[in-house]
Amino acid sequence: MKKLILLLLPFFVFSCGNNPDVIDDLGDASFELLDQDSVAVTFPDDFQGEFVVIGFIYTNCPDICSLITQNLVRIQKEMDHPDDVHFIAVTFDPERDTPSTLKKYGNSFGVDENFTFLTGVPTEVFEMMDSVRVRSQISFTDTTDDGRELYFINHSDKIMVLDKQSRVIFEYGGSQPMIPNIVIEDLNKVR
Amino acid sequence: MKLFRKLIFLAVITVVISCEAEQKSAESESDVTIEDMGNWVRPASSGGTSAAYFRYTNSLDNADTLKAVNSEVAGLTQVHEAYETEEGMMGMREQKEVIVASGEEIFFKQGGLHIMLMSLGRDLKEGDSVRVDLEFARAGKVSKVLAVKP
Repeated sequence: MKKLILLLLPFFVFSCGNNPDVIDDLGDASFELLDQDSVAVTFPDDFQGEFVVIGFIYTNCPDICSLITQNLVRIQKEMDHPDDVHFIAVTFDPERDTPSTLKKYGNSFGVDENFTFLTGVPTEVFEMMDSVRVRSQISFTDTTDDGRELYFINHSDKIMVLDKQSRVIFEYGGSQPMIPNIVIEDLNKVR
Repeated sequence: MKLFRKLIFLAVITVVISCEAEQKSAESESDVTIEDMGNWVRPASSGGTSAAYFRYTNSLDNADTLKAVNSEVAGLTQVHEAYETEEGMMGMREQKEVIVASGEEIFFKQGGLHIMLMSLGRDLKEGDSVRVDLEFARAGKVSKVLAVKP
């Protein structure tokens, strides 16, 4: 009977995603970026040893990107600000989203500890995004009455979870309202 | 041996049921409606972009068309719709006109139709209010005063 239990145990343990597949391994990757306080950040090296919940946004996108940011904030709040999980939002728009712009944007969402916004030199930012198959492209431009040119971006709608070895283990549609509950459930399975 | 087969069968059934339960749970949560469908404007900084959300009911006997939107806080104001591109990306596109049937209520809401307030002339902070003017073909000018809140 003991043998039988031992035989069946792995069947239960490995079922239904308790031991998730690695989607992307960023363990050897390294990107030099800037946070909202203009402090240099090496991603993902500076976050190794923590779980990371990461989303992608730009501040001139007040609709879908706000939903993504809200979801990140909601996950952190509903998990009661866990010490072992860091939250990151990376901008699709490093030209306009300077550290100070990201800081103001974060303040409007009430973000605090363990929540980092990342920008940087565009080539570095987009290389980082390419490494996790996050895409963006300028969709249209328009001009204000006083002649200022505006542009908007089509972009991936994604939130991901990285484990403590900087491996992407979960991916989700970032703006959907049910995402926080699913992320929290998945994180609690692997933490 | 019979007992062993029964246990294997039981284990398979248990796992299938538990996986299905997870899937159903995720499906039912996707039916959750988007929050904050009331009247509000998102906080944003001067020079940046915000969005206005509210409901409007066409109480006329005929269909009406929203032809233009304006706000004193923005250098450019447009009706936008969030959509998914053929490549699977999310984007926004302008809706030049919005037709509202008689008696119909439309929601300007997160993730759908919304009013884009671009090139803001001032910071929009919690507690401020913003006026948005809507120009309808039949109803004429309709103004909404909306609270700024996160």
